[in-house]
Amino acid sequence: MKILFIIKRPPSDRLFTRDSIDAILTCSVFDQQIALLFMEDGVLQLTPEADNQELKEQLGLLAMYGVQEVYALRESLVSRQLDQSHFILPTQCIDHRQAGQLIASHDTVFHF
Amino acid sequence: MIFSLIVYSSSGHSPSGTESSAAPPPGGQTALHFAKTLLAHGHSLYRVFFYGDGVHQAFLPDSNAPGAAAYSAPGTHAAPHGHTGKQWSDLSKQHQLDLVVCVSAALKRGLISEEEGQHPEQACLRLLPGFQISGLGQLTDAAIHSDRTITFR
Amino acid sequence: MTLHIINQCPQGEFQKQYGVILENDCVVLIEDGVEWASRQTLPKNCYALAEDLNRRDVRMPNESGVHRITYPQFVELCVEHHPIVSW
Repeated sequence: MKILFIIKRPPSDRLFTRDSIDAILTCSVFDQQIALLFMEDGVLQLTPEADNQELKEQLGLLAMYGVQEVYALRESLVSRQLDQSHFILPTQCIDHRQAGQLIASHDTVFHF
Repeated sequence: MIFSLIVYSSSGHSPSGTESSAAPPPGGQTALHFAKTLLAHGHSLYRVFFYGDGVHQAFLPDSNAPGAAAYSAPGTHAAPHGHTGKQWSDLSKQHQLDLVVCVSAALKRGLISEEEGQHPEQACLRLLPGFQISGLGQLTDAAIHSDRTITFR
Repeated sequence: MTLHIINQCPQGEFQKQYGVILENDCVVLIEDGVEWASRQTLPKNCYALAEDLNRRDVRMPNESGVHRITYPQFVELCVEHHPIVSW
């Protein structure tokens, strides 16, 4: 099953970012094909400056759990003047239309 | 068709942070109404998974919390949007629903203790009938076994 | 085809907030999300829960193109579409 997680919360929302990362890690243990789409303030979770050490450590584990597909919405990066080359995970930058197609190509979409 | 629902919003009590809506009513009621409708139309409900602030709905209201009085006096006229958890409980009795409360979300929100997290049966006394505490694996399992998994935020 | 469930109505333009919605995707407005129906032009396949429109007394302009739906119709749209995203 292909599961997409949409992530919009800033790293400072500790409780809710935990809900998201806990669900991602659990789904990956179940051997599902997982992709992540970061958008709006969610893209801040990918920056090394994010003030949430626990989250950064957990995101860092994702590759080990087999999560390879990480996307960020271009518009969210541009409006926050972020450069994905510094991100803590290898990230593909996509536009709105590609994000819509990405969503459509998944069986289940979670947004916590 | 097989559905699973994820109840992620709270029903108005103890939301964990974020702004509260100007029109709080039907908080948590949409998912319940949706569940009743799909069951009435011959679909099946594999699981309802209470996650995030949705976990508040599974517990007996704190006797000091607003709305608790309406619940503890069942003979009296409850608030129109009274305890949504109680309504899930009733629906579960009618349809043998699998109502699962996420243990980690309940722990994070201080609804159960570490000790209870390791031995969920100890926390069951404070759970509304029909709910059970389990792990996030039940969320993935629900997605795998359902044709549609819908989140109500 | 994707179905998008929208339950809130922040300030700003719909198109800006929900730019990822594709032209033929289906949009269902519920709870506070029904407020969009009174405010601006929405995607062509747009539905709003009648119960929530009534509760909030939302008046839809005739040209809005938004369809009022009941809960059984909401369930039916979920049967017809997938995946389903809640914003």
